[in-house]
Amino acid sequence: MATGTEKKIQIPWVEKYRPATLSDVVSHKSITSTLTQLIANQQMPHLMFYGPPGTGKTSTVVAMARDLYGSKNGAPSNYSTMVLELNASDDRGIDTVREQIRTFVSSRAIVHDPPYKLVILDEADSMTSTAQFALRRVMEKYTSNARFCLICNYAGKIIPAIQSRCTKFRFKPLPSTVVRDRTLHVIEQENLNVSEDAVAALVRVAEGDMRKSLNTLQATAMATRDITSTAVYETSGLPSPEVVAELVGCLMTGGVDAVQQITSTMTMQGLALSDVIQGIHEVVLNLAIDGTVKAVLCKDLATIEDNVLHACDEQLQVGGLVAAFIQARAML
Amino acid sequence: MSSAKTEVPWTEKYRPKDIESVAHHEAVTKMLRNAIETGDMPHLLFHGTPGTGKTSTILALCRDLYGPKQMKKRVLFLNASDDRGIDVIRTRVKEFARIVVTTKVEGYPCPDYKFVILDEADNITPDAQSALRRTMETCSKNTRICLICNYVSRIIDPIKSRCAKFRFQPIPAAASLNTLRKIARKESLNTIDGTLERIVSTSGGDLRKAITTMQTAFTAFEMPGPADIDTLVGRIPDELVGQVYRTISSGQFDAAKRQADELTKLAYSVKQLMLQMNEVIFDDMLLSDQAKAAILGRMALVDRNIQDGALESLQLLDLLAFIGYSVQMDRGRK
Repeated sequence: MATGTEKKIQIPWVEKYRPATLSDVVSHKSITSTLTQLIANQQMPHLMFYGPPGTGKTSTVVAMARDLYGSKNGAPSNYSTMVLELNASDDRGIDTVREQIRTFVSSRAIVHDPPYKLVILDEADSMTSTAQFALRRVMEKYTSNARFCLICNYAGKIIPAIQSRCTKFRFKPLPSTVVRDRTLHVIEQENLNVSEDAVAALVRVAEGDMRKSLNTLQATAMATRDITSTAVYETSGLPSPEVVAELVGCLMTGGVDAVQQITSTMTMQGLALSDVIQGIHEVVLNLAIDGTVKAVLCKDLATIEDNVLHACDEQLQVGGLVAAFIQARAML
Repeated sequence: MSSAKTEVPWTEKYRPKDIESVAHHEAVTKMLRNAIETGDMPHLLFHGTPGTGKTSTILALCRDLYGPKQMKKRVLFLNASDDRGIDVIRTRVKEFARIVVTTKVEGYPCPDYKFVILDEADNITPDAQSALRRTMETCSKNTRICLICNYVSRIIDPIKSRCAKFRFQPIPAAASLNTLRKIARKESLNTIDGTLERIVSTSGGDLRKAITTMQTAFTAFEMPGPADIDTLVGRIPDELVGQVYRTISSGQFDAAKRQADELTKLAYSVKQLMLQMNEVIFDDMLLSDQAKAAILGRMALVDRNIQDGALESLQLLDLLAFIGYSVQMDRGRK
């Protein structure tokens, strides 16, 4: 019975298609080759990976750990005894640093190649600063036993004392061609029926975030068999380019009655105003109009977006949006 | 009779009791029925505008699964009024998920899994959401999670990809009207023409709002008419708004100020005035689009100021002065 229900919960594809070795990591060749060098020369420092989500930070370190501790020449894998992974869903206050991490690193591995353990602190920017201060000492004291790899989105949230103990690697958003290739690979492996424009939509929604692309793909596949760009946008809850184009068309030509039209489109499609504004913003940047007018429009869009975030009434703010366009048009 | 009927909110009293009676969401109910029969239930994500039946659907589903008596043991219901920071996700949800319940009740499927319902999930911080991500995986053996939110874009992708998603569209006017009529019959109410229609039209596809308004109306008035409904929902009488607009645009600022004071005294909100003033301004054919746009822009600003805690009375004066000025400048130009 239990297995019957359990089977249906699929493994997330982001886990399923995580690169197994360093050479499988699709992007960031300079980083992976540097790491390979460091491993080969037995000069592994403490590491800090930072960059936006879904750019391969965790994948890289997990792949590296597998390279280091995985089964080699028939010897069994040491992964579970040599690697401690902690992420934001685990409690990581100062006590964890004092107890769990210290216990793990203070016991020495006997005969192993490499002779150090690895502690991976994922989403390290959500660690409290007191925990980070406690970590500072642990990192130094047990250098002979263990290496730390901190992963975070914002380098600024890691205290300088830790930063100076680590070799830092910056992970840039993936180029869209890389996202596309990898997405296509997963589509092929999963035997999905995905239309060409749906792939483009996935890449567009992802914005260089590989995980987002795969997650959206999986969520869409869960909802429907034939994956089209419409289904992708519906899953992500973001307005599709067609809808945005229609709205901008309406804003660029219509009068104040555009308010009604926009509000009804938004309710029918279940769109949030701030997402709509973001979409419109992109289109406005590409409009063939005078730069000054564009600048004024962008400024107005920014104000309205800020208003929306302050929980203002959506309809009144749509009014503001329409007003901004009418006034901008008058400047042309 | 009259005292008994006010005890329970009708929104609760007439909440659908089982999946079959959930109104207007065939696709969702079909899939859920299927899931009950096969025992193959995914995590769920319901999204859509308020009052469209998201909470009703999941509660009906749970009742169908476990029966009314087992509900308390099997279902953990958390909404935005409960504390739902990262700690609650870590401790309460995890602990609830850990306990295995196997008691069966005659006549209900009582599957091995329990339900955690997170209402208004768009208010859960992204941090807590990412903590939830792990929990969803580790607990999937004996727990299903149902997230309910208004905007699906506020839910982080890793969670979306773990859930079967369902969008609840605003309930069509005809269907809402039907439901209201049904309730009216059961409560044996005397309705006059146009009242229920007015309730539906002011509710904007939000059935909960419609039912609440209806209950209040029939408690407060013997035989409520459309005008009474307007009063109830805080709608300002259209004549009053029109009058304010006419006075202000003919340049009598003092008179307008008096009217503004009057409005404030009647405790109408400035937001409501703005929304209705919008309609009046849209309908003024003599006013240029430029002037209309300027006024709309000002309203967006005033709305923000009020949201930030500015004094309503000052904002109202500012708005009225601005409208008067814009209208007169516009007419002068012609």
